Amino acid sequence: MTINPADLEALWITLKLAAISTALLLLVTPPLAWWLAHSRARWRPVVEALVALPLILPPTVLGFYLLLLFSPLYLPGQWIQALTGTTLAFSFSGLVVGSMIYSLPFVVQPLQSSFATLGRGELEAAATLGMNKWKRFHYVVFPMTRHSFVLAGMLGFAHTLGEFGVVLMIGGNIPGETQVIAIALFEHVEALDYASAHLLAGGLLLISLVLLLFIYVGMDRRKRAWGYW
Amino acid sequence: MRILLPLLLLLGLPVQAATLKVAVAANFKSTLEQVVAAWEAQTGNRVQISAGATGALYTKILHGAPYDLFLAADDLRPAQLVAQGLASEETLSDYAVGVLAFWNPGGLADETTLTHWSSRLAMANPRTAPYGAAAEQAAQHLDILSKLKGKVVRGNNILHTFQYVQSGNAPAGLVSLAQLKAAGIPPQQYWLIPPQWHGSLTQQGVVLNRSAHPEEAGALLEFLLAQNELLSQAGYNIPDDH
Amino acid sequence: MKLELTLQGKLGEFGFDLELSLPLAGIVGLFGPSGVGKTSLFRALCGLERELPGRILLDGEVLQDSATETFVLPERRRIGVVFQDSRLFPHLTVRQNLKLARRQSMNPLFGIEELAEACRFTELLDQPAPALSAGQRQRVAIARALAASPRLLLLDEPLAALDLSSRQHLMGFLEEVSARIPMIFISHSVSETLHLCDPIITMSSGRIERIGSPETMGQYLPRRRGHGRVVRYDADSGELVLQLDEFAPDFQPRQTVGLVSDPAWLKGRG
Repeated sequence: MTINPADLEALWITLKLAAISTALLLLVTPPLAWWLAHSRARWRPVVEALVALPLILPPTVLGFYLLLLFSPLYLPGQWIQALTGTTLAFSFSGLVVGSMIYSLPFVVQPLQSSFATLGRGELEAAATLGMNKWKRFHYVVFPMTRHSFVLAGMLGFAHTLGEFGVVLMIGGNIPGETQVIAIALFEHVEALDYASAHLLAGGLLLISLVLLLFIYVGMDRRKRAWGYW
Repeated sequence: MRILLPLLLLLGLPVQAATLKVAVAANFKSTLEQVVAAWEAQTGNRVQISAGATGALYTKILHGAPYDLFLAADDLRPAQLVAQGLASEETLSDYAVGVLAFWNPGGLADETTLTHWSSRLAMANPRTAPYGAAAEQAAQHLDILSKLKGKVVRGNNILHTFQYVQSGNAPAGLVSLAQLKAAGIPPQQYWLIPPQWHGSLTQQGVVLNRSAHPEEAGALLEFLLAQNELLSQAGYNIPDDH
Repeated sequence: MKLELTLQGKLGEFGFDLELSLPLAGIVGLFGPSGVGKTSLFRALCGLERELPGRILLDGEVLQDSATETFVLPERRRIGVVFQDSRLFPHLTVRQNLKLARRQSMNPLFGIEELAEACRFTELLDQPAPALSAGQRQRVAIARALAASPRLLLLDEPLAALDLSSRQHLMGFLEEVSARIPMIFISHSVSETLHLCDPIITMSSGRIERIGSPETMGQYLPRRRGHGRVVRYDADSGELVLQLDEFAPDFQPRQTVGLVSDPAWLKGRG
């Protein structure tokens, strides 16, 4: 029993997709999470609901609307095409955009809740010491909420790893470009090729397990070194 | 029974009427709905329709899903169910033949255009959808597969494939005639692929052995087999033996 | 250095009508019962309170002017604060707390070892901040605020959690530093305020009541606690004659008075 090259490629694409989407989300979402945690704007709940929408929306529906969004028949798709020269549908970049939307709540919510519980006290102290908001984020907010960044990254990564519905719609199942592991797995099951399906599912399970082990062992060590997080 | 009988009368249901559960391939759902409406009016029976991918429905039936009638999108799964003793052989019948079409909304739709096609082309996944297998065979027949490598985008089923083209993300695709008719696409936008270029798109139906109403289920299948006009209007060919 | 401020308006239900104009040198005392708005005044001064309308000038520089919608952010005011609840950074050691603060100053006035020694926590420098006791944290917070070399330092009951000997030592240190960095000092201790501060400002519910030297203000500060030296004592008749200190309350005949002999808070005082 060996894993076939197409499945290996799908595995590699999946890991790449999860890593890139998660990294981008961790870069882009902290300001949003901060705003959600602290804003008193009347329309904040609206934004909060929008962020949570991918939790409720069936992924294939989300994928369908992304397909419309990417479509060169409509304005947004035309802008994308004018800007990048290609369309996002059926491309790896398109999958990254889709995954970022799909995994958005999984990254934003842990950050938001840890920002919300972060006391104002330390930040006020930092401000009176002369630190501007970037320095406050770098020296105080980030280190004090580091565990939630780890958690957010972990959840975002894991969630993207298992992504299926969105990719099914916007990926076009192109081997080496947009064929991710969940699609390959689904295809094996549909084609009644259970041997390949089990192998792939087992591999995915193993990778996830190893990943989680690394994270938990790391967390444990830190806890012992500091006595707190 | 003394309690149940008045209760049923109260609900206004004829005591004899049966409620059938039909598992149907997603591509045939809307056509079946028209057929079922006529049959329900005629017999007083009720029908619950569960639509899904043929493969998924097949797996559910294998694991004991309580359907009376199975209308597949291929001629493999129903025969497999018969072989596994889960469906009755004498009811196994071809009820429709799918038609594959080359849909090019933005230009000419004919053999030459398809032969010289060089941009993205949407097809269904040959491993999971009968229309995908047929599309791949047709493309092999025209010898355009190697030229289109990396440009073929695969929908998981024929519905996704249709959406890829409809949303404009793929300029053209190989879809089913039934979809084009249901969406009211003008005929000059598509070209029918000659059926001899690909394997059979025959759709088979079969009554399942665990059915509580095998007679009614058989009657519905018979009724469906007589709807030649409706089927051809919906974009299906009529099987030879009708 | 001169401070001029006019703050008029409401914070929630609480109304303010503050007017102040005074030269800042040495340690200015701010005295008043809890809930009169001393901390809010501090927050407005250092830029953490945006909701209180008015005008604040320090050394001629406009820090806030609601009329022109001017508001200088706290990080640009260079006004240090020692908060009641020390607010050390919990993810850092004591040394890292001080280093981070010191790095914010272009030309720091104090070295880290120097501050640690002056505030007596050299042995704690490499401890994580959360491992410290309340009194230790308070000392580190004072040192951290000074490490950033502010031009004005606001101290909100900085000595409350300290034992008497550390308190006296730190009072000496603050007095010495105040020659270089002027301070405003909130305390509930009358003796602390009278010893350390000149002038003294008293506040009552949202307003400045009085400003004056400790000599003139002494009579206005509530005197509930003082100490006295026994001059004469007759165990048989129970008659006691005491020589009271200058902060002791006034007494009436027939008044009931509690006594504690050699109280802990007087240990170490002559």
